[in-house]
Amino acid sequence: MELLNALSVQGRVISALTLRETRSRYGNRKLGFFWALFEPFAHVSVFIAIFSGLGRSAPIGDSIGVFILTGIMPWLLFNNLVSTIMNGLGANKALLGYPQVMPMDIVISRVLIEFSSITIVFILFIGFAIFLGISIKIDNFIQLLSATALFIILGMGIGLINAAILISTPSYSNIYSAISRPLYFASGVFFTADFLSPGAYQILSYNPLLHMMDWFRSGFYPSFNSTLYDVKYTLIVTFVVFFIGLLAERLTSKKARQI
Amino acid sequence: MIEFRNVTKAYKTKNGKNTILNNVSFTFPEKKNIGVLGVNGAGKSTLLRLIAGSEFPDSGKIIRKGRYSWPLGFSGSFHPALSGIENLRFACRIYNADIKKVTEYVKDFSELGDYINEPIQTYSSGMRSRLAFALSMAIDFEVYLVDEIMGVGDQGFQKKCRDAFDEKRERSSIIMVSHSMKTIKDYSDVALLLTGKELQIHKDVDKAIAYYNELSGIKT
Repeated sequence: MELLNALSVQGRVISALTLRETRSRYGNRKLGFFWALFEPFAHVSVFIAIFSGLGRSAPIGDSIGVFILTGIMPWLLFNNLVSTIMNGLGANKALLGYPQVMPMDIVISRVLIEFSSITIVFILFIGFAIFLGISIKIDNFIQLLSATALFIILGMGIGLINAAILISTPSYSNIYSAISRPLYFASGVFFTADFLSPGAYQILSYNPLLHMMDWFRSGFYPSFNSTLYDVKYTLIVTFVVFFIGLLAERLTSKKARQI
Repeated sequence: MIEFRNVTKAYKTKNGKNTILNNVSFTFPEKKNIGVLGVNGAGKSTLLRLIAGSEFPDSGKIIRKGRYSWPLGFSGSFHPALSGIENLRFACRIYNADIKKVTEYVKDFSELGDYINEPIQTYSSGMRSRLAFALSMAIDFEVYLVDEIMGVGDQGFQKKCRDAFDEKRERSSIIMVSHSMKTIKDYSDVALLLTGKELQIHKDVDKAIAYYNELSGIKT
């Protein structure tokens, strides 16, 4: 009974936080959801321009646009989650004054928002590609979804660790954005691991995001099966980071609530 | 019902550690309006936040039964970037209250007018306390935890607060922190003195105030 009650309170808190965040992100601004569409659109357009300028064809499939899309959407899911969780806990500090609001509720509501908006945008773009006459057949939904889940879990883990560090070191957000920037180029947004030179392959194969990206695309493209992605390695790294994140949240939760 | 069991709470400040409660075991008197007295920095607001559950003790246990409000204070639980109405909706959702009814009540009670649609960060402290007070009155609580916001505003508004509380007397009680001895006297049945290490309960509020004056006189 008590557990049931606690769960219903948590459910109410999470839905209130989700509504509040959705409204402040998409409801109050004039352009609203347009921005959610614009960011991936900009990335895709830039890379279509670069690839056609270089006279190169898509690494997999017929369309450069779809290839970039299958890289940029998971990347944005991961990257937005990290930044929205690391900044979200501080930005919503006032709400922690309500005793029933827990930092994890804020994290969960952010995951719900990011996942649903990225999914909607992805579906819209895929629909647009089909409209343009590009043939798309998704190879394996389970593979696609499991890779997506890993992007989310790793994003939560790093977001939580960052949030914990931010509590004592506010300047850390600059440091993180500096060290995370190269990740965009090293995580396979616009290439697959097969295209790397042996030297680069060796180094980048430690990057779990590259594994996930190849995993995701292996699920998307019938014609593609990555030689890189290692299920065991990716799972271990992701869950270790996630548990460190949870631990960091636990250890700093007292300090996080102080005004 | 609220009970502290071996509760310790300290803050790190620039001048070292400030201990607010040191291994305190204490049961708060039930259904009594309690005025909390203590010199600046003794930890009155923190005590309220501990009672509410907004902050956790360093060690020990706090046992709480019943519906307690969030700590109603200036720096309280409102999100500064959101409007009054958005904050109101958020509180209604987490406390499972009827948004429509609460909105009506708050609009009428708080006298904020169009300001209710402005972000909280543009509010004066008087406006914040009016919103916090009206909102907490609209959502039914058994114990109201009031941090300084009473006795703010003009005479008319103060009377309104008083009347709203009198109406709830039967069902609800209040634990309050205030720098105004008059407000403490007006509202409290008993006084709780926070000496910096322990909690003392005084049945005679006047005597407690006299003792508090003595204590703060020596300290300043």
